[in-house]
Amino acid sequence: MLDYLLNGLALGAIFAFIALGYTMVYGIIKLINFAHGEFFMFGAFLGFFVLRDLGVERLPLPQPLPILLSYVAALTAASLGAGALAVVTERIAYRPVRRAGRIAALITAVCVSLILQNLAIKAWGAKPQAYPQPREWIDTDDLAGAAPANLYAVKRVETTGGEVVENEVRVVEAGAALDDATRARLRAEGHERVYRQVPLDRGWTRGFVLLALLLWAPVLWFLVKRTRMGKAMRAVSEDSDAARLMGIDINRVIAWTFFLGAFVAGVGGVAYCVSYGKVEPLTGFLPGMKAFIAAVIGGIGSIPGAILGGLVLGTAESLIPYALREGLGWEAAFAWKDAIAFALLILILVFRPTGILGRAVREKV
Amino acid sequence: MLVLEGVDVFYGRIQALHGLNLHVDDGEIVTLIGCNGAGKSTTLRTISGLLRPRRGGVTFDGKDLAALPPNRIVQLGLSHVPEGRRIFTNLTVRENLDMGAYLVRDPKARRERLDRVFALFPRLEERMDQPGGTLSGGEQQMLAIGRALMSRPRMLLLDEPSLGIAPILVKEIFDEIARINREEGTTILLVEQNANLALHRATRGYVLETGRIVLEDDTKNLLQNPQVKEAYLG
Amino acid sequence: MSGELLFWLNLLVTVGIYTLLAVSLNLINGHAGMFHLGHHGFWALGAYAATWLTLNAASLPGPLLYVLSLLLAMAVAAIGGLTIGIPCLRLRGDYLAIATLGFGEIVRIAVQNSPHDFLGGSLGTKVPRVLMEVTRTTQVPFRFLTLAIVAVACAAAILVFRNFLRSLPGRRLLAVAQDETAAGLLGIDPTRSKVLAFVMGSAVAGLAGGLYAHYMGGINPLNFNFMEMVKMFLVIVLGGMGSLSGCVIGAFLVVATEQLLNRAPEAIASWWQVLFPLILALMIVFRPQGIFGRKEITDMIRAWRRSPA
Ligand SMILES: Nc1ncnc2c1ncn2[C@@H]1O[C@H](COP(=O)(O)OP(=O)(O)OP(=O)(O)O)[C@@H](O)[C@H]1O
Ligand SMILES: [Mg+2]
Repeated sequence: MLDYLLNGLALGAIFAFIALGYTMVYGIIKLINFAHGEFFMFGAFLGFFVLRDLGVERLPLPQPLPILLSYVAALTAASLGAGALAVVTERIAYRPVRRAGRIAALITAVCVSLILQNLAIKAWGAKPQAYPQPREWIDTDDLAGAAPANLYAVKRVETTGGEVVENEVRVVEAGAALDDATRARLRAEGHERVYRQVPLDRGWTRGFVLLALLLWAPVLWFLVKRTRMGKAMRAVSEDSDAARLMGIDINRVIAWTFFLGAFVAGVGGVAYCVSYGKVEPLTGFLPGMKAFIAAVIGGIGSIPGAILGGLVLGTAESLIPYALREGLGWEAAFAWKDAIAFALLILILVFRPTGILGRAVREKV
Repeated sequence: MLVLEGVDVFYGRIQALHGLNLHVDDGEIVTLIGCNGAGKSTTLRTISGLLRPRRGGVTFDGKDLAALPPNRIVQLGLSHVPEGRRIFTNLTVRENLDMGAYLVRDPKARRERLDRVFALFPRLEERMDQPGGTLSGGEQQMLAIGRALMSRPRMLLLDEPSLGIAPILVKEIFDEIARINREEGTTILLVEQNANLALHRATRGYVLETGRIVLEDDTKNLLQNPQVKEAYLG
Repeated sequence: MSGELLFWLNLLVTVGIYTLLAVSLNLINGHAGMFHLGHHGFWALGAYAATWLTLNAASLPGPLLYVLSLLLAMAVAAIGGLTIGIPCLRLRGDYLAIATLGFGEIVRIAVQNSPHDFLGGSLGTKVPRVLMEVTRTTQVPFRFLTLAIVAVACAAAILVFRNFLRSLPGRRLLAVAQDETAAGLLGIDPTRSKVLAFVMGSAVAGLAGGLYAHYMGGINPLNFNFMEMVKMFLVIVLGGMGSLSGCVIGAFLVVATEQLLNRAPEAIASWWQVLFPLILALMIVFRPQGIFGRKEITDMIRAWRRSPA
């Protein structure tokens, strides 16, 4: 039970990270930015490349610094990349339709989302790829006799096409030891280094996302409440013409809002893919929809609402199927968690469209 | 200082201004009067860049405004208090004023402007941390004017500052407007429904009818003009 | 030769099915002015309902089972439309869009997670051939027969919708679409009008689903994904929101583009997945009234006949 609650909260924190971008963009231009999930996917892919190819985790520093640094690098790349994509998308797709009406803008957003998804399929293939888990690099010589976890040996080999790739082979099963004979064999075969797959403890990932949310929430609060740009964001969201009369360049403010929302989503992207262990071009779709639901639950347009909505949705997605399974003996309940989320969305929209923290606004159509 | 020449403005296919000519000189208070829908607000919105003229020129100190976005126009020293106040209701009074000084980067200059606005409208200081939406109508108008003054404009465009405000407060607000003009040399273009009041405060006036200027004169002559008396002073 | 014939027959049947989907979506989005993004859900409901009956009533004579399964498909989709319509149609604009999209996703998740022995689950299921035995040699007659049935269904749907729109309830619906508040003041119940359109539209989408399941001989949850919704939307936007005959032409353009591109070399084949959303976005922004606007082909022919004279 507690385990499910914590899982739910951690998942909810990820939803919250994504929901923030939805809510900020909706708040400022009243657009449900469907492509937000794709910004998040793009960030996750950049993080993936950093983790897989950059080799930060091989830096000769005491552990766990290299591992931590590799994730910091991945998060940075993910956030900056997602932010950059958001700014570019806003510029070429959303700005031209800003005055074309909300429905036209929404359809454009749906289309942009599909276009980005399919471009990602073209670029990176449709198949899910394993998301790099924390790896600890060890010189073959440094290895003590016993190894606590899976060990992988790496060797550079030339493919038939002449490309040099790193070939990985698992040499020791978890729990077994690396004995001298094996080590000698590895060296003879040309493996210079070995890494240990650090088993990713669920407690750790959960702790990481919750901590990240705890750290980010005040930063965002400060950015929006206290900075000049944050105040301008709020002014534009309330009355964009009046804001222009103040000398505010609303295009810049909107671009910045997109950037900030996607930047935060980048954190969610890496966290999501690390906890699910894979990334694919469709990665953004479902969490994107969920995050939107979270934003609606919390009250779209409200930043604390997005965080609260994310946590509520994550918890509901974990505890409701749990209750259904334990209480009603329905074994398949967890397969239906996505449907539960959508049902929650419809209920909220029908009974309390302003969400938990949303202000009641009278809207014309 | 401000010159409009042959300005045509359209909303979609509907033409709202027809070859409008208008000028305001340094230090003047000029008023623009006319009935509902005459195009007064449209004129101000065109000057401040919210609308683009299809034909004709708008210049401020010789600079062409017609192609500039509103934020650049504010930078040149032109500040527009829009019709219906349009304050930011979710931002506090202080934050509203900060937005007015959005382009003033120097904290000392901002502080000075803030003190100046509080000197003009002491009530705003008392309500500094209150959300703008909780102010009374009159206080909101003071906030709207104060906010526009934060950028230390050389010219102020005021759109119906008396709208929906008790006569006693209207007098107070107009006194402050006159004071701003007198003490800071801020040029003022004042749009009003209340022609009587406006013509008594301004030096020159224009009468706008269905998007065209039909009369232009010193206010003392306009006050005597039988047409004006009939139509606007009744 | 036969391969070429099969290709074009398949294309035309598919055009017919998309025409059904498009006219029904058009009734909801174009005429009734609601922004509905879950039509693929009704399509799936119909397909699965027809499949279920076909699998479970195998003792009935084939043609009867075929017709009954189509009727069930319509009924199930209509009930789905009613259940989702009553709560959701009070919502407006983008909120309605999201709620209906959520519904479409729920349907997809539901069939994907169905037990394998019930509706095939994520792998989908085969649909027994009840109309006629389909082998290599009978492919051509089977496709001709399906094409005829689909064509009749399209003609019937267009006629029914056209007559509906000219009837009193139809005019009420158009009034609601124009100005809900004003229509309400005239004593029209907007929700009732909208639910009626929604149920009619979903029933026809269900019919399309049933026809599709029988034609394909198998169904899979992946056939009913959100990209299909975009295709339908593109059809009505190309054809003109609110034009029934425009749907036929829109459907032909979309389906032909997709299928011809799919025949092209690998490198360009799947680019329609990028192309369609792009065209849809461009159309919505630059020509939202579509190629034909609200006009019907018949209007144009009439105008054309008159003008040279
Ligand atoms: N956004 C708009 N779209 C279309 N027409 C508009 C728009 N705004 C104003 N108009 C039209 O332009 C004309 C001039 O309007 P404007 O607001 O400038 O009048 P005004 O003189 O300020 O009137 P009032 O005293 O009522 O404020 C009116 O006929 C009005 O209907
Ligand atoms: Mg006005």
